[in-house]
Amino acid sequence: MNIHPTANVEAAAALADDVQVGPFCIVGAGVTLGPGCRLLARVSITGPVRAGRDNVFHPNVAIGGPPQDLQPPAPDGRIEIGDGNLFREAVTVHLPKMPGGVTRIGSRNRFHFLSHVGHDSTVGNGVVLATYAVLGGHSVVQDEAWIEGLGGTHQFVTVGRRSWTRSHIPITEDVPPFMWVDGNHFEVKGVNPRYQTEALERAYGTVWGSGLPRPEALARLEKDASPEVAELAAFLRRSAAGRFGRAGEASRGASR
Amino acid sequence: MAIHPSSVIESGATVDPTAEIGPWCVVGPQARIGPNTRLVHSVTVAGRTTIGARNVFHPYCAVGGDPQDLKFRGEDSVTIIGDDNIFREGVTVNKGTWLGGNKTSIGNRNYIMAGAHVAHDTTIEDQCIMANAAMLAGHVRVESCAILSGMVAVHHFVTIGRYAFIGGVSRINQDCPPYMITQGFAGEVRGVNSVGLRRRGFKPEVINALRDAHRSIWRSGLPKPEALAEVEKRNGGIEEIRTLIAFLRASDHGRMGRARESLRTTPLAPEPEAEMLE
Repeated sequence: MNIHPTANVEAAAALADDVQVGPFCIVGAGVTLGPGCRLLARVSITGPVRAGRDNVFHPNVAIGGPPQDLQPPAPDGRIEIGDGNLFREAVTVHLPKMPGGVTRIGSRNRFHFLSHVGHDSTVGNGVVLATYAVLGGHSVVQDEAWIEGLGGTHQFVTVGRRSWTRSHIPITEDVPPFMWVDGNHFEVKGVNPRYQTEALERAYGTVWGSGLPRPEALARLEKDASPEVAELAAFLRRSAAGRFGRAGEASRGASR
Repeated sequence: MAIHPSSVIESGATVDPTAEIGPWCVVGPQARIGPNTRLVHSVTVAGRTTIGARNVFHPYCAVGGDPQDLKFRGEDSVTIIGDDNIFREGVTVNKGTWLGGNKTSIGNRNYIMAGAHVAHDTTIEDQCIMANAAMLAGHVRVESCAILSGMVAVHHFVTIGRYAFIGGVSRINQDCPPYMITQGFAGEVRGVNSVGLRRRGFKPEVINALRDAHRSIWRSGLPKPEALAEVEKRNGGIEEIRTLIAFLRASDHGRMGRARESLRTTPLAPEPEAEMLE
């Protein structure tokens, strides 16, 4: 273990043998850090936080602050972080406000400067939050989604797997998987070029290009044999069942 | 007094005995920190900054620093912060310049979220919320109970009216009327902030009058002065309507839709002539 003499690591924190803690870092009592984790300088990790292996925390990162909410935090909430994540400067991750809640981050994600994971949010694996990308509370970001800079999710939004959201977009509705979103207001523009398939192109045309009513378009999608299209159809059904185009809104009642 | 030994309180600073200062904070020689205010850790309070009671500054906040402004000449300006405000991680508050009366001021019970910026000569009244990375340019005024969503960027000299709600990632170049929702790349008025007003206990008849005013002013197609006169005739007895009308008239008297533009005493760069562009 390599802890700089100016760092403040509580005795009750559980750090793997090769964890590096740089100058002026704070590591609270309820923190567990797996092998290979590196805290560069002025990093703050407090509250119940469990992080796996090989996570890198750049200066001024603050993990484990109370939720940014007018209600008090849940006494038993915690943060779970997987392996191999990169937290660039000034990233913030907040504790949940739901009783027994978890703010969860998977593995191999990249969080760029000042990006934010709000209370009770879930981030999958291989996600990129670019500079200033902000997740409102209770957001879900599925695997390999890419959110460009200055994009912000509304509370309870789900960002679908392998989707691509361009910069400066207020993400007020669920982002469908495999699609890309752009525009002055939220608009689905096409299939994410990185994951293009003929079946997805057809599906995009059916849902957003045909003018068909949504239930009819979804019924057509469900006849398609492609697993990606099936995933897209199921996702869109869930979003349509929620309020305001957000499947997660269904869980809002529990928080009030 | 709970001051962590690693923090630097420069001589001349006044820190109330009940204030709590965590590790690696720096409190400058002209700073005053009131009772029960808490600096979690790694917070910097610079300049002639007065902070009231029961505020919380989360890590990496920098308060009272120099303005990000080319006209700043090193004047001894101030930053005044009231009571019960919460500043989340990495918030920056800059002190004033001569043009703005040498003062940046923040009232009481505001919640300023991570990465937000409060620029020189800005006034924030009471009970406002600024979400993550919301940015105020210099000389902005935010009236009580306004809410700015994430990544909202506000132009110099703009006024945000009381109980206004600004939608996420909006670009605000003009005054935002009180009681209304403003949103978008062009910062357009979308409707009455009825959810916010209901939560704050406004009566249904007031909200209905504001809805009626919104229809006349932004949806009827009438010229603005006529619409305002009509709304005033119909509902001028309601205080909120009078506030709305006075706000909109003040914005129209200013330049570029900003009432506070009149405070800009330095000459603006001349607009390029049409011929020059051709």
